[in-house]
Amino acid sequence: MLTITFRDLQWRARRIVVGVCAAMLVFAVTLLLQSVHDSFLNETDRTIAFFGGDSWVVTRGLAGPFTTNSPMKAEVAQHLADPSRAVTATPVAIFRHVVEGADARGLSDVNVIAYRPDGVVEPRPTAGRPPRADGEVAVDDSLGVPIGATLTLAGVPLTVVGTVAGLTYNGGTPTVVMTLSQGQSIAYDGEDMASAIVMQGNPSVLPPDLAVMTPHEVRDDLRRPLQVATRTLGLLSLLLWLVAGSIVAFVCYLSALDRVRDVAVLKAIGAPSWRLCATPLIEGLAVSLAAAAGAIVLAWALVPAFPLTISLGLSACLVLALVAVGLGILASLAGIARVLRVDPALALAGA
Amino acid sequence: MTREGPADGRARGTSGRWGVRVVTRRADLSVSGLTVDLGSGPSRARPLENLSFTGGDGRLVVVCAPSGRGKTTLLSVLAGLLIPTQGSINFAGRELALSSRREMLQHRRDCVGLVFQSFNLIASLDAVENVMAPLLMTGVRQSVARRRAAELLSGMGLDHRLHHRPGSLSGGEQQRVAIARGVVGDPPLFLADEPTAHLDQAQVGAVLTLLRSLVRPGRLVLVATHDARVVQVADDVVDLTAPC
Repeated sequence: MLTITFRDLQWRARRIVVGVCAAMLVFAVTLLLQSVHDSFLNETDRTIAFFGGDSWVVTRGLAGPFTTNSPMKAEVAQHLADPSRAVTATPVAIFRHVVEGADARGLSDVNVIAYRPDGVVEPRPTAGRPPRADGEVAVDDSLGVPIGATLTLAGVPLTVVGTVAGLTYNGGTPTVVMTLSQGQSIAYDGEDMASAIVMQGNPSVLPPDLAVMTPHEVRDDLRRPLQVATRTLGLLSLLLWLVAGSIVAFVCYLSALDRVRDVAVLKAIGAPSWRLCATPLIEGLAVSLAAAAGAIVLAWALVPAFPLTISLGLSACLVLALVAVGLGILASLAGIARVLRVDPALALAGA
Repeated sequence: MTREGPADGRARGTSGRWGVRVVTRRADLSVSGLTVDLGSGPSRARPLENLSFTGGDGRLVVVCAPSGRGKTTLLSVLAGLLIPTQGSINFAGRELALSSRREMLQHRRDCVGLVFQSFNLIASLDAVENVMAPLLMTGVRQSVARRRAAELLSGMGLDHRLHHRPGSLSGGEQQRVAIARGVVGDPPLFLADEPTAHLDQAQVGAVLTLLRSLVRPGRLVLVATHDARVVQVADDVVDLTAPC
């Protein structure tokens, strides 16, 4: 049967190629959408990992330090720290702002993370060094600002002393890292306030107006504003899987229609139906897997063109391959059903 | 070489030189009181009614009738593609009218070689691959099937056309390929439906010679036709209605 199947694929090569190309485009868009979806989730993981720490202390009643702004006194960190139990605490300020000088067109939206050096939070720049003094910043490399350049944030000139990689959140918005005192002067008018306290170890005593959040809870808080977007992307991906499956099914069904007489002849000369089902099955798998392979290459080529940092990983490609196998099998059912319905007596019907 | 089958009339198979089943029984056919109804309700038709005839082992039987008189229906029933409404069909000791679908499939695969009116070669396969197809269905190894098909086609004068697809073959060549596909499994019952319908005069002569050469002990060749030229090479003629 493999010979017959292979020859049939060759015979219908042009139609198969058109089907593969159409499915490949849909698969590629799906893969990119899925990767954007994954990127939104992965960037929150990276951001939480950037802070380190075992727990976060925030003002009681707050959903989280990233989505609500209810600052606390930064000096609380000193009371929560307990060197005898190796519990350390670092106040951080987290807010959104815009910078000038990153983009020739004008303003760029940024997230700002302000931290107190030599504490729990230890930025690890990919180039340069972490900011140690007011007037210095490290920026995410997606902002496209080189070390030594000057940015203006809230009218304050800031010198870029380092760059970090993958420090984005809120849908790929790049982050500017600065010292806490610099952040306080911008966001809190110089008052000694903080958005949250990042802790290494758990506080033994907590003031009644404060609450402890786990990094997992903080991450969920960070993800919440993107839920609508990520769900929409997930739904679009699902619809596109269906479109791709329909294309493959259409190819298989058309081939089965074309082969009705051949199938009748093969049945008439003694081929059992289950053997003949191999052709649409193999055809569905071949079209689907070829489209998936092409889609991976196409998606890789398109990733650099996106303004958003897209994580197109091996796992996404493997998922695509597995989905392609599933879709190929499902899509081939259209052809298989047609093959099973063919009456062998049709072979003896008129010319 | 004709050998009597076992007393219970069942086929005794063995692997031949090509891995092809050799059926060791007489290819005698007996059709009795055969009636076939097609369709239902107002569109119901009865192409065959109370038909009886016999065909002996090693004979060329021509079923002769004008178009629309049930020739193809008869071949469909004999090939195990259609279950008769009434009557008995006994071939080589096996009652076909009472066969299950599975037994009919087995009958088609092991006992029947078919040549269709419009050749019905598979367009995506070349000549050799078309002839190989029945062997592959019976589990014969591809290399063995290919060799057997190539030798058979060469024997029919098609050694220069082995790797041509049907679209590039003449009508006569296509018919020879179709006949080769029908006999490649060495079937005891060879059925041909209007084998001369799409051929010119020169090609008809060659095909009739070829059909005649297929007749041998252990095989019954049955040809359905409305072509009087075919009757001339027949051992027996079954006239379904009016004279041809």
